[in-house]
Amino acid sequence: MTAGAHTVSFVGLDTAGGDNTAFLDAISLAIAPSGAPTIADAGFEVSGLSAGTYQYAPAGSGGRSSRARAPTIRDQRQRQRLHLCQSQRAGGSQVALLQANSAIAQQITGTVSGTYTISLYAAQRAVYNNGGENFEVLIDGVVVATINPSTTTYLQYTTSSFSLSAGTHTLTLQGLDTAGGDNTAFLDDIILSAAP
Amino acid sequence: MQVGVLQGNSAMSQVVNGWEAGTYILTLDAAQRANGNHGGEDFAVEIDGTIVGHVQALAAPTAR
Repeated sequence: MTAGAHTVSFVGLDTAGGDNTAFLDAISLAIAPSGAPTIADAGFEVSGLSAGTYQYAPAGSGGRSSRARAPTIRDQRQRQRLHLCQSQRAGGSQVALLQANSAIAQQITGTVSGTYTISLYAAQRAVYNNGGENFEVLIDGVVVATINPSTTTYLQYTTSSFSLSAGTHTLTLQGLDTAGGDNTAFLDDIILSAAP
Repeated sequence: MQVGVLQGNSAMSQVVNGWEAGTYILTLDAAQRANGNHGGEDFAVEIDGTIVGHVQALAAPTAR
């Protein structure tokens, strides 16, 4: 953050739809400890695509592909045009997608030695899927979770705890497509948390 | 004693003065309404219009 004044907003999403209410209290801000880890682009927002566009393997997203269909950062506002037909929303204006055996890798920096979990939001593509996409979460090449999003609604999935040494690590999200065929999952809002 | 309420797609904003340059952590207490909810409310936390968090309270300890 820069010095000065900033606006903090809390924006109801009502992802579940219908009459839903949450209560908020005791908001506080604190300087993050110097050792707080960060994920390079946890919300897949860096590529800054215009509304109505999408891009395979955009610069800055950590996307890479072993096949022609690479991971995509896709503007969710275009989901309907792309016949994805998913009405639920995770955070930000963009999400990543894992299609077939594509993968996304990002650096995690600033970890202190300890035990962590990773949470992320994931959803299956609403149409064209053939059994659904599943994917692995890897840290420095070691699988810490395999996730098969259960619905076309964004739900948060959390890994079991794993150990990290101090320093820099690589988070990889590797599409498996165990079901075979054309399968795609959408991902958003990765969170690395110190395990209690 | 008062709390904020987010219902549906409502929003609330506050200007916070006196930031120093640096990296911050924002924390808050949140709870789902105890009855009348249909799946629960979730909300985005934004700083100057940029989403920095997505919260879905797990429990509903407070009465409607």
